[in-house]
Amino acid sequence: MNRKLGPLFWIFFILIVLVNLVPYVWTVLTSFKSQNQIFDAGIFPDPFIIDNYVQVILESGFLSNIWNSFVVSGVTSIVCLLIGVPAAYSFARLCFRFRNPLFMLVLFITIFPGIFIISPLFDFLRSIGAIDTYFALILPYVAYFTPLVVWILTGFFRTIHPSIEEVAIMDGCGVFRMIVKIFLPLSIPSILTVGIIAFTLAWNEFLFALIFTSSESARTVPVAISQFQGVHSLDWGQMTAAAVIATIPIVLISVVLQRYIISGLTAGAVKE
Amino acid sequence: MRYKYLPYVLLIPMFVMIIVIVFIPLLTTLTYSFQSYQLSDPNADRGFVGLENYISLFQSERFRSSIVTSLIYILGSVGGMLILALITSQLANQSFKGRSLFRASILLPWAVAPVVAAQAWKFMYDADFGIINQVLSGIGLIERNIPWLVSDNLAMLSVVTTNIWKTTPLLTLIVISGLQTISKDLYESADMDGSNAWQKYFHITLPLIKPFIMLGLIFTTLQTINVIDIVYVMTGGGPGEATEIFTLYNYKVFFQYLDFGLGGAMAVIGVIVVGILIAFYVRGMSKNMDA
Repeated sequence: MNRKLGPLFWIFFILIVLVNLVPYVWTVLTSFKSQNQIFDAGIFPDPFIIDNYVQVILESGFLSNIWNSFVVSGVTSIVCLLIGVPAAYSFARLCFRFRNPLFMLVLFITIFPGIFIISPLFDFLRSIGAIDTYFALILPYVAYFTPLVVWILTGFFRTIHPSIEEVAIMDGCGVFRMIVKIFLPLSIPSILTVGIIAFTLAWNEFLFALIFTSSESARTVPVAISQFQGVHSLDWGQMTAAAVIATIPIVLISVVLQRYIISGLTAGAVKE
Repeated sequence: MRYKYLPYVLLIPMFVMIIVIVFIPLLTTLTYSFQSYQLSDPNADRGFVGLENYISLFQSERFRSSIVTSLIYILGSVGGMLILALITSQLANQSFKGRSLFRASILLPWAVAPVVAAQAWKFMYDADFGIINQVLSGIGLIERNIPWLVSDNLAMLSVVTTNIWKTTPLLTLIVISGLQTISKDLYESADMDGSNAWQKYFHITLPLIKPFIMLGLIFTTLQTINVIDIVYVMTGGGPGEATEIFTLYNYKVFFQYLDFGLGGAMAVIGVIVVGILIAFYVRGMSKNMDA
């Protein structure tokens, strides 16, 4: 099926690519401009300066926000995988009662609005003195992102043909040994992909981070960026520099691993 | 494969987390909604007040307006996303030079944090030096700068646009996964019958991806009300309460007015609405499977 694509196709192609890229590219360009030039017209930075980055890194507490986000997202994605891989294996490979209703439940947990359960969690974390700690963020993140990890991984696991596992079992291999020796090595690419997706979600999360942190000791990147203006009184140069620093790793990973991430995000939806 | 306990054992850690972090707080929120519970005065007696919180909610003009605002925000966002996602997924599913650039450009808004998206768009919408006004006046469409974020309807339009930009990729990806399940044979036999492209789209493609569209719609709808980030950063719910969606108002009741009783009642109403939405979806899906 190699028919020619019409002009309408390419018009849409260019429009969609532009609309998707422009807001972010504009943010990147702004971050290299001086305060004066930001208020003037002109698309490209002239002169091209890196002062905004220097100030964000040296003067504001932004580096500690990055570190907080890194620790919280890293631990979250690892714990999500530790809990999620066995659960996804169960959904993908084993037969049991209530499998479909439980799988549906998992699906809906992933999209259940967090604000509706946040006040008792806040009370609980405050009573154990955990507000403004990494724990306060990792706990709800693991609860919220594990179901999504399971949902996507189940889709991935179902695409792996079970015949090798069945042969191993018939040869008298125990089920746990089979999972560790045969199943997991086969699914490492999908597990890594889902780990990256969980990391991204935790890295970008805002609501829990806004409410459960109160100082720089645990405040993560999204909260810092949302409050940037208040502290630096409308300094768009520094704000955009911070936004670029905060998103460049995630954006690069998604673009480089584009194929894997798209197949990950679409795997869950297939064959419900 | 059949094992008696193994399936459940593997699921236990996840469901323990879900019960502790989602279900127990859900029940606790329900009890808050019947109490007079002010966080500003934690030592005061948290007395049982019956339906008082619910009654004062329904008498509140601001609560009703937050429901209307949410509906406009959701319908505007999800409607726009659906049209764009159908077009984008159709393009992404062709094979052509530049497809990986195209797919990477779809992923970019997905990867960027909502807060960053909101700040980027807020900057572009800025009345005095935002690029949108600069472009519009540059090509002579407007004479005076438009105050996008400080007039009621335009502020709504601005946050809806931002939300569409940020969340359409999710819907697009779900629709793409639907398109990938369709066998090419169907199109070939339609070709032999002499069907044109539109007929093929409406008679083959659309019915087959309908379950995926439904799934995508419920995902993006809940995502739209769940993520208060965009409205919080761009307008804070303003001007006035023009963009104050339900969940943002609920956040303010909890953590600005520190009223956990009233906020609890709001949350319970929100849970009921979300529950009804999901029930409709599940019913629609099971009908679809029977057919």
